[in-house]
Amino acid sequence: MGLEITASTMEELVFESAAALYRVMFEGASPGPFLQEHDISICGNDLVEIMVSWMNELLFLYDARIGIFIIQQVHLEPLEKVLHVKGTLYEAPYIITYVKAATYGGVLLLTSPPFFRVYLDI
Amino acid sequence: MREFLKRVDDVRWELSMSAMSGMKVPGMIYGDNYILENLEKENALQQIANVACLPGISGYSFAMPDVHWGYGFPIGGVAAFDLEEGIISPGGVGYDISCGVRLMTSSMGEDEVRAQLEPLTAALFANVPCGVGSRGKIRLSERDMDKVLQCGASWAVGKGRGTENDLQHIEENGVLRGANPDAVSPKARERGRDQLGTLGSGNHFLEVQVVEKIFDGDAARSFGLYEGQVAIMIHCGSRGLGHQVCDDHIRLMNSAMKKYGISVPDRQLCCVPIRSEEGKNYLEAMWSAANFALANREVIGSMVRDVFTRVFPSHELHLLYDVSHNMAHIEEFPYGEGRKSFCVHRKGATRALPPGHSNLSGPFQKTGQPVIIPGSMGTASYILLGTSIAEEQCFSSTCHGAGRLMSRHAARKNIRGEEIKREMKSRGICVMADSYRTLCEEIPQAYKDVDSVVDVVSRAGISSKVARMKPIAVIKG
Repeated sequence: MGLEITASTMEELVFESAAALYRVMFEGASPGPFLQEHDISICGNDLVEIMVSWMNELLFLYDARIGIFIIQQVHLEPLEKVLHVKGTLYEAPYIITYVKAATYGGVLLLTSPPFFRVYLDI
Repeated sequence: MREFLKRVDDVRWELSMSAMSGMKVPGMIYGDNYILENLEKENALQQIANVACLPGISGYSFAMPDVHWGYGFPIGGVAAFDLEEGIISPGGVGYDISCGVRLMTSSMGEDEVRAQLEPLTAALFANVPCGVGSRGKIRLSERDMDKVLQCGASWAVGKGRGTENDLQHIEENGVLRGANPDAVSPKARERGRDQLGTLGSGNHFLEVQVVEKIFDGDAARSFGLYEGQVAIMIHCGSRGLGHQVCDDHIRLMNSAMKKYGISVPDRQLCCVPIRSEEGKNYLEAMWSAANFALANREVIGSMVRDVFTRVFPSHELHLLYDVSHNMAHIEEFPYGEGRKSFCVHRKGATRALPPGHSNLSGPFQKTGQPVIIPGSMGTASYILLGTSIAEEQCFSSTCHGAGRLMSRHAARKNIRGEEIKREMKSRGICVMADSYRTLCEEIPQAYKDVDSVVDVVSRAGISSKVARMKPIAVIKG
């Protein structure tokens, strides 16, 4: 299954890619009770790796903690190739489609205007 | 790419090195016309060629008849690498490290079990946690997690969840000796902590089966198999722990490749030299995850035994064999005048050792290694044997199952879960599933015909048929 995400900034692309992944997994169901405050930091060799790792981090939070991550603040440092995201973890709603992984197969990232295409292993 | 395929014989096709620039060896595909037609619909031929470009690959980039598109390496792919010049790649093992199958036999006949089939299936469904995010009854402390990662199935036996005798009936006697728990990240441990003793979802299953046909009477007798006998098959792997080990090392290797001057045609083939620090770390972590999978299947086997003896008090289940089909091993093969070790990646392919192989335990020295081939939901499964031809031709490897034809997404568009359950019932198969959606994704039409796949490996001589099993009850996650 492929996702194509557009946004007006790279930070928004990070936000929208999480929203798109969760739409596939939970089809818009509301999150459950608060679990914990949670920050994510991801570094990579390039922005593609950061974006794919970002998606996989969200899958980890579901699989390990049955959590859904609600973003509060996104900070991307493109030159240092680091992504920091502040947010809160809530209990995940009933899952509709289990996603095993975000993959590099056919991945495409454009920065201007921001566009991200990623294929999910379901 | 079909124009680069040359027919070797009825069931083997060579993919020429001119198919793609950079191929270091040709491809070798086991298949008949049916398999080839389906192969062309996907990108798997390209993936076979991509694998042939990797440093230190030896012989061929192999594809078994159940080959289909996978993450970097095709599923159903086998590749052996020279230990000095070759690489190790997490994509060549897969996310579900040591995903595998075990078969446990009973001394009961179909009629006896059918009389209690619904309560048996319901009790199995209630006692073996399955489905997405399923949590087991075992909570592992950090110390216990270390022991599971180090000791594999023997940890479970030590905890009374299995028998000493089982260990002789598991590949590598139930433990991968090269494992190092320190190589497994805290994230991977967290992901697996509550998942020991769980089946998971997707194509994983627990089936009550009946031996439908015996092809090799001597081998069947030696395994205690006979027509009409009831057996239990379990298919699952290392759950989230193995997944995270794969994810961790893909990230590490993507960074490390540059330093070793390795470039790959597909980022998902990221790899490092086997002898490098990163390569050693991955092997140790991957074997630890494999131990988690072996312990997982042993624990589930023990849960199944508990249920079975509760429903049928005077009967026991005996483990026939347990074997992985997502794994890399360092193995020795005949080479020139002597022998040589290789790192053999099998992703969606099963090791198939011949009679007399030093890695086989006593019960299988004469027969060769049992190979367990699960079919798709509601279809047949097979017990095969490893052969010396497989050792000579394809690094002692064979197929692993039916192999997908249709994506999960496509499969669930056309049918409803309730319809599948009804259809199975009309065929005498009792189905219980955590989710109807999984049932839709796992319809037999979404897979190749397992009979055709097994027919190819049998005709090629890389495995021989022992028995065909039919399901009478299916439990899916």
